[in-house]
Amino acid sequence: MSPMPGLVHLVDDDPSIRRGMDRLLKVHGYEVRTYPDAAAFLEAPDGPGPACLLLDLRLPGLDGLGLQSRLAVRSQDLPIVFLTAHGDVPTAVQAMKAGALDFLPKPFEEASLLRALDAALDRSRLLQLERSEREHLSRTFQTLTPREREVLQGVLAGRLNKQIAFDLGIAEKTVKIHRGHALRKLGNPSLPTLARMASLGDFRVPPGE
Amino acid sequence: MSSPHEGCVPPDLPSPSPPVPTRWSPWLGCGRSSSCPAKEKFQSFFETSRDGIALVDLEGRIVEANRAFVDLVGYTRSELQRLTFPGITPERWHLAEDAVIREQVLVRGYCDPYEKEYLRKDGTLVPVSLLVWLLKDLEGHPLGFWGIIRDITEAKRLETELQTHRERLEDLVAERLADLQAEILERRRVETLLRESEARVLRQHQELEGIYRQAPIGLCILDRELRFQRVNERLADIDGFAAEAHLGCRFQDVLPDLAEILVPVFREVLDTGTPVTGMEVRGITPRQPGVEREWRGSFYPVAGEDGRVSAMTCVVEEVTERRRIQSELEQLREALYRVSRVSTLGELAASMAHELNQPLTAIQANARAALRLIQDGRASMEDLQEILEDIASDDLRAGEIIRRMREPVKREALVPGRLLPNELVQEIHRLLRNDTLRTRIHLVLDLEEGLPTVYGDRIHLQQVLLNLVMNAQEALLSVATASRRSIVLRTRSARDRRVAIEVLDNGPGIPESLFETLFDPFITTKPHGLGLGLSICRTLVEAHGDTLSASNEPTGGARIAVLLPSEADSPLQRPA
Repeated sequence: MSPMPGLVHLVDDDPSIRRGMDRLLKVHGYEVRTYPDAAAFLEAPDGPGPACLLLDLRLPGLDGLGLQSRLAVRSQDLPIVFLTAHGDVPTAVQAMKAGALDFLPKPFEEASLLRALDAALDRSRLLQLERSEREHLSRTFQTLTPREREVLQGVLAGRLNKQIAFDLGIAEKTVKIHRGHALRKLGNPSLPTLARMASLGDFRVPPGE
Repeated sequence: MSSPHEGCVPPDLPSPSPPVPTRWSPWLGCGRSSSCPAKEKFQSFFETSRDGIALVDLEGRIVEANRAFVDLVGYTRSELQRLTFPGITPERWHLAEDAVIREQVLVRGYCDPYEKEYLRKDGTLVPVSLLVWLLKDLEGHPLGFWGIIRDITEAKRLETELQTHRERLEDLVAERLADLQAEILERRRVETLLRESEARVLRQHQELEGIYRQAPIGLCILDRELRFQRVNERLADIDGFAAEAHLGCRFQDVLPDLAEILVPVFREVLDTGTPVTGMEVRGITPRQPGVEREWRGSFYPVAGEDGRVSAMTCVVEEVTERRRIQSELEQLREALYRVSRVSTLGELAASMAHELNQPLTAIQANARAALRLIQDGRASMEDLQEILEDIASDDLRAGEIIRRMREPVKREALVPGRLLPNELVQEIHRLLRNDTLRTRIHLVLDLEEGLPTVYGDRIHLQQVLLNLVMNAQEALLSVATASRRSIVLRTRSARDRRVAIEVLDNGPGIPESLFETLFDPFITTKPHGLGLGLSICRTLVEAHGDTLSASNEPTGGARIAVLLPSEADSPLQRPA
């Protein structure tokens, strides 16, 4: 089976492991970048394609869990697979709660490693997709007028045109016109689609704020 | 005293008036012309007497005086007849003389001799002794007095001189007496002292005797023929005979089993006069037949009065029991050391496992990569060679880890060698790195360059340092802290060419109450600790001639230091 291409960032302080893993992952078609510690990784630029982080739990300086929380603060959607040479259950639990995708004990089975990495890269692809959709949506939302946003908000809250007109103190007819314009700008989505779009991007935020 | 030219009749005697009253006649022989022999005799005596003789009437007028008297007072006879007795007597004698006349002479007709002075014509005083009689007429009425006057100037002088001599003598005697008394006192004092010191010497002698007899160490004196002269109870006990039973017997007869070893030694001491001390003797005495025991003996020559060695004193200490306890203690310590080593290893096992997993992971990755390359038919010989080299190197690394782990368990005896302090510390750092990563403790190296090499057993010293770091680690983890937990492994040169390896932490420090007993066994602050770590550390360190010391840093945290002598100063160092 030929894995889908993707970038694996490997952070491990053991040079032998970096060398061996680099070799193995490249053989399997992954693009690999290795770093001896968290700081080196944080300094490296982001790649454009799907990527995941293969992270040794114990590192000199900032350790695996520390790096994980640092990335969470940056809201970087980089799926993390942890590596550890020592079965440390509390640490593993902590890592998984903090959103790690998988946890592999050293030495690992090749198949488990590949499975975990593929899952991570799939996740990365999905996240990237969502992000581009979200970016598209927020661009679209920015074309709405403030009144159109208010009307859509009422629609999503399940209120009738009449009720929205009353809430906003305008005529029901005017509500219908705003609603028609807004939906047209968004590509005339069905109500459920509209709801999903609203969950991805916040159309209530007026442009420039 | 009489002048020869005056003869027996004083020429001027009859001439001056007043005329002698007739009453005086019988006494004066009235009528000088008459020449009865008695009267002449008297006259001769009167004139030639050495003592002054004077006849005085009741008014004290001098009626008659002889030559001696005239010479005595320096007046002429005629002058005298115009003078009175009181007139030539200094005033101060008048009262006393009146009393003599009144109370003695007038009462009983004479007086006891008494002394007074006369005032001479030249104004000088002459001391005299006087005898006075009452002169009566034929009817018994007082007429006047006879006085016999003796010049006592010379006597007085002699008396004074005598007095002076006497006083001088008395002074001398007093002086001598005082000297004598002082001497007597001194003698008494010395005598007391002597008696006291004798008593003291006696007491000391008795004390020494008591000590000798009851000393918990065997003591005896052997003469030149090796006969027991004196034996204390402890030695008797060691030998298994009563002390008295030894006396006069030869050593070889009492203790035949020890004779072979000791008799030559004794002979040497007696012949050369050189003591033999601290000699270890093993053997059997009748006290415990068939049981070999051990003693430590010292043998000293005793000089006789002529200065030659006349005897020998032996000091014997039974060390059998002590040796037994010592060897048991050593075994125990060894056992404890093993226990501690194993428990240290247990603590280390986790990080060892981690460390072992690192090369295994690398090997796994490399092997899988190689397999994949071969399966895909993309394997180049260069790639495979490189991969296999990596695998072999990681395999060696794994082997090294296992060897290091096993080594402390296998090793028992001290195997010293040359060590670089910094390398030793770096090794510890490598061993503990994973452990400190797990515990999130910052393990810092602070190494001084150019330290001398030390000499010691690498494994033992490693053991000590591991123990110290683990203690520090536990101390750090036992308390909540806001600051970063860190342990510093520091090397630096110390006094006397020594090297200090220090383990510092920024934990709570060593409790003040623990300092004194810190290195004692079974002292621990850990809930599950045996309290042997530091005690064993110290044993190991001291076996190297090193010292282990503990203190708290002024900034808080504990500091344990191992001081190692340089290679040249190491007691383990044996010249090749």
